[in-house]
Amino acid sequence: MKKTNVNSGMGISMLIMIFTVLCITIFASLTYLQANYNYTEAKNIVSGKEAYFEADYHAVEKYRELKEALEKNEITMQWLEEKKIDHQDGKYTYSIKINENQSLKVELSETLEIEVWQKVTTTDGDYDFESFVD
Amino acid sequence: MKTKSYNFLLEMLVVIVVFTFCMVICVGIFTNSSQKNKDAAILSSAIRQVETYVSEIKANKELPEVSYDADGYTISIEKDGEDYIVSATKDDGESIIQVTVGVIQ
Repeated sequence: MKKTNVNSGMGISMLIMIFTVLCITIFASLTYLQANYNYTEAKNIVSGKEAYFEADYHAVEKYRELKEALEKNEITMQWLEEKKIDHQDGKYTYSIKINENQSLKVELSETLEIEVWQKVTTTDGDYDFESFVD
Repeated sequence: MKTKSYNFLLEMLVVIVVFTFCMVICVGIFTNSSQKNKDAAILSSAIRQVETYVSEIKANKELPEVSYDADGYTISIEKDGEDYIVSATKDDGESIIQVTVGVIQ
């Protein structure tokens, strides 16, 4: 039998190392991507909550202004327009923008009892429902 | 025979060097990931606590007692006129969140 001197230059140890390194690198990359995603998500939640609390504070400020104006009997149509407060059917309504898609809606009675104080979605959805219906 | 053992030693050397290099990089990535996970956990925990204190302030209309012993951040609440300022700060001094809470009397 003829013996050849052809050598690939790679032994079993080299192959095992390449495989191990490849596995660990993939695992490390996946771990990093997951951690990065978690961190970004947590940051987004914090900034979302911060925006909501800011809007809530502005809503409270507006409530105080309205209360003060009512007590001093200074409420006029112009004042309400200036403050962007609607007064219809005995209700005061205003909304504070939280972000592009959401706002804080406040509805108060004539005696300034809070009737609605909630986050609402303001995005006008452009959904093509017809494609889902036969 | 001599050449064979030389080749084997050379290969082992390459394997050790490359493996060590890759391991150092991978350990770095794992450490970074671990830190990011820890930061994410701190942010989530801090925002939950801030929300709890804000609800408490709005419900009771008074300065609540900060009793939560957080790991990695501190929460402080101050009264500023009619309003309350709730802030969460990491142990290294970085601000996580600061909110002003208005109370309707």
